[in-house]
Amino acid sequence: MKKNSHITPNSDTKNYLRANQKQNFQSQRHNEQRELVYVAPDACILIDIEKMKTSRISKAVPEYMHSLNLLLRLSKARIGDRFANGSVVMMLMPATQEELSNYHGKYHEVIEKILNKHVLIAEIDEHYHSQFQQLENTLVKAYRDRGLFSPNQTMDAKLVAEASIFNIPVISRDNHIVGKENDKIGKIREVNESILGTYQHQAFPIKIKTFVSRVLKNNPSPAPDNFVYLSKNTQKTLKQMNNGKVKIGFHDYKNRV
Amino acid sequence: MEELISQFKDLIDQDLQNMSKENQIEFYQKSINDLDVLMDNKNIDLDIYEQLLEVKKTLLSKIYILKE
Repeated sequence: MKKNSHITPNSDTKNYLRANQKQNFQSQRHNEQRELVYVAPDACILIDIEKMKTSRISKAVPEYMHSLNLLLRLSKARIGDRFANGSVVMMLMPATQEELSNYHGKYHEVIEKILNKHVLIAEIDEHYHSQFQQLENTLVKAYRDRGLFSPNQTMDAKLVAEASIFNIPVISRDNHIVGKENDKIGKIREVNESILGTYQHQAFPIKIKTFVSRVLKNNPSPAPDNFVYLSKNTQKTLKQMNNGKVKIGFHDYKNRV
Repeated sequence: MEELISQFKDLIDQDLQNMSKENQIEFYQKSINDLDVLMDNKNIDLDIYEQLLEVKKTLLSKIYILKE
């Protein structure tokens, strides 16, 4: 008797599988053609990727699993001491670094593998640390004053603030970060514009499905900014990923803080 | 383990207003260190890790608010 002979895929499943195969092929083609796209995943996205790799995530959410799978395929991976393949750079913001590490700054073992393999740690240069922190604190306070995050959600506010400084989108599955209620995006836009200035294309928190879809469709992505706040090591890695072409902008926010 | 997670979750709602700010920060930091000990276990179940992470995030948030 054949294994699983009692399972007969219905036409919905077949269509879904065909769509998946098409998107998997697209992701492969995409990686060969596109400029780099930067994204700041929150901790839960990374945990879910790890769950997916160890088959722990519930198959009751196939669409979400599919998005995670695509994100992984699209993301650059570390081979040796360099990042290769992929067109998406997952950058770990300082807030998420703090959540996933212990007091000594060492990452929890269960999440270390995915960080080592697929994620670039966004280290802040010591020289700019205080300036970056001041800017971040200003944003976090403003988000809270606009009712975007409760006091107990300050770590999420910090993540959004940090990603906003670099003008890269956050991806999350938490509604209080990516939900559209109460014109959240409009309020984040207003706060960011008042403190960071106006961008031609501003980055916002979005759902993973939306992010992956935009990447595959080659939609224009926000141009990252303020990478000069990053440590020399991080900047060097970014340049290597971009074949020496990464553009680093720097705006002086001293007057705004 | 479920009981331990529940005890950590209770920390979030604990009323520490009779403590000074410094003592509150110290209390939350110690709790976070205890959480990290559990989260550092390489064999930890990812669902449990995620639950502990949510508690840690809230406690970190409380510390940042106290330090403002």
